Amino acid sequence: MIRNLARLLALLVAGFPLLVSATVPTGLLGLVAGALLAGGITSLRMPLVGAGAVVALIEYVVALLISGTPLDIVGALAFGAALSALVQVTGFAVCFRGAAVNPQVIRDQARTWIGGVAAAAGLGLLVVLAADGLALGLPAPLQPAVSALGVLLAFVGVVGAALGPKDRGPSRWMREER
Amino acid sequence: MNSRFTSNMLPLLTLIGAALFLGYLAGRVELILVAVPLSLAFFSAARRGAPPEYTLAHRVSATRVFEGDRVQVTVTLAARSRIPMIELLEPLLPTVTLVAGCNRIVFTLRPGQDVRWTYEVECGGRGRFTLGTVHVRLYDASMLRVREAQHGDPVSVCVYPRIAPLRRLPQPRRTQTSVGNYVSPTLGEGLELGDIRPFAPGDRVRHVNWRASLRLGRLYVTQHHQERNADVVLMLDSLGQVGASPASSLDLCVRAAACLAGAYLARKDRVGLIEYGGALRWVRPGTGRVQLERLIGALVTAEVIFSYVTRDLALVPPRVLPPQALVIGLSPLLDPRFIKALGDLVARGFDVVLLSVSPTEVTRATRPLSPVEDLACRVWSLEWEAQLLELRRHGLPVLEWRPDQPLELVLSGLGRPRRRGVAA
Repeated sequence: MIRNLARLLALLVAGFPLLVSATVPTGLLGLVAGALLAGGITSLRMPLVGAGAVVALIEYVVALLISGTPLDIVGALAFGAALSALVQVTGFAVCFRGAAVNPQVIRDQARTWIGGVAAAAGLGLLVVLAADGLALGLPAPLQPAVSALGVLLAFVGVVGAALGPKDRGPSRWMREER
Repeated sequence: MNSRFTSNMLPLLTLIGAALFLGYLAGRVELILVAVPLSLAFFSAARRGAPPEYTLAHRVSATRVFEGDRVQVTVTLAARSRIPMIELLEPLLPTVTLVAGCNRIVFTLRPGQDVRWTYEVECGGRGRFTLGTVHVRLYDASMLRVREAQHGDPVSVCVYPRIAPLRRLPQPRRTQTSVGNYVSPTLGEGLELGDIRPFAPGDRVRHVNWRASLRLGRLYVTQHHQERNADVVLMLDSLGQVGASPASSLDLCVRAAACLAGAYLARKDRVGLIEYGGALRWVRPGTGRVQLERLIGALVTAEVIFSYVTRDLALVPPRVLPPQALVIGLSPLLDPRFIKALGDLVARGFDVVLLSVSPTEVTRATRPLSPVEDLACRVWSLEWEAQLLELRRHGLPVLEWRPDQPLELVLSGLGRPRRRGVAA
């Protein structure tokens, strides 16, 4: 069931950019992304799924650039939520492969995923509103510099948070299983 | 308790980085928005809370079982705080097969909630193994952070070789002094009629043979054969083995030794064990249930220890290898050192019987053989039979055991007394 959900999300992630712009380059990238995601989900390999998701992201960028459509907040948030859910659902399937999973776990997890999507939508809207307010208050020549600084700070923040906690390495059991 | 990020973190970080980078490069806000749900998942995992509190209890239904028996393992988990996801794994050895339930399970628990998890394992081969080491992984709700711990409540489970009842056994030529089930050639108290002789002062009146006395005109008494026990020493060849556990030649020999020990002890005989291998180990002959426990305990740990050193049986003390004992060798005859040791025992006047497991049949049972391997097995089988013939020619009673045959059928070949009444 979890794998089928992951397959559905993979279809959504690889197919969504085609809704934005159904062209040959996006179609080709969609095929590559779909193949990588399908392979990753079938063999339960996270690196393949990660690679497929990145290709799908590139496909989305290409579709946006080719189509030149105006800002689509809902579509972008939905695509981001689908990517996030895809990584988490596949991760769930990878972690608990071969284990007996209590049905309550799946129910709780589904609730968490739905809650995450809702929170992401709210936060996305907040980000857009805050950015709009900031853009109005800034002089035009400074806007690219501030946006670049924002992106840099966000990335440094993410990397810093990932490297921040001094965790010990995985146990031998974990290493053996992986 | 170890705490670390799971393997989901790397794809998530890559996607966040790629979305931000591409968004800036392409100048599209959508990509920044794509990064928002991914970042939200990430930051929820980056927040470190207190580790969940729980207690874990582990129970095993039996610690001493026979081969093929099942053991039920019950793990009880009680949560004191909320646990979003807990994964429990109890690793199992290859000799143990999972027959019911699962040794790896995932739960979610509310504060104060208890769960009981049960599974059953079948113990395939003899040996000792430990249960009770439970590996625990505690995931957070985002499944991006995991804490790992190990709970050790080790319980040693001993798997004994299965003892099949045997009715016919190789009869010892010589008996000992204690009371037993064998009719001794010596005359004394007993049930089996032996001889009649003239009455002598001191004879009991109840032994007077009235019919003979009336016919011959003077008092005669009846004498009986004494009923005595015997000393049996099982000599296990652990110099080498073929096949795979739990059906290797050593496993078969161990099973046969356990059956023989059980049957001889039931007949009030004293039974001992010599493990003839890289290390020479022994159990002194004795009787009773305690001795059976002792012998089977030694058989459980029997293993092949390779060594070029030949152990001399002269090192074995006489109380372990008593004179006039019946020595039953159990071997696939893979190593000539064991044959030489048996020859030495025969030369020293011991009553020796060899029960030889067919190594070729054990090899054939392990896996399907190619035509060349099949031919090699046939040649090997001929060599093994020639070896047995040679031993028979030297007067050694040999029993050939092919694993598909019942042991009792093989042993019935020597079920009758041999050269009865040769010595007391």
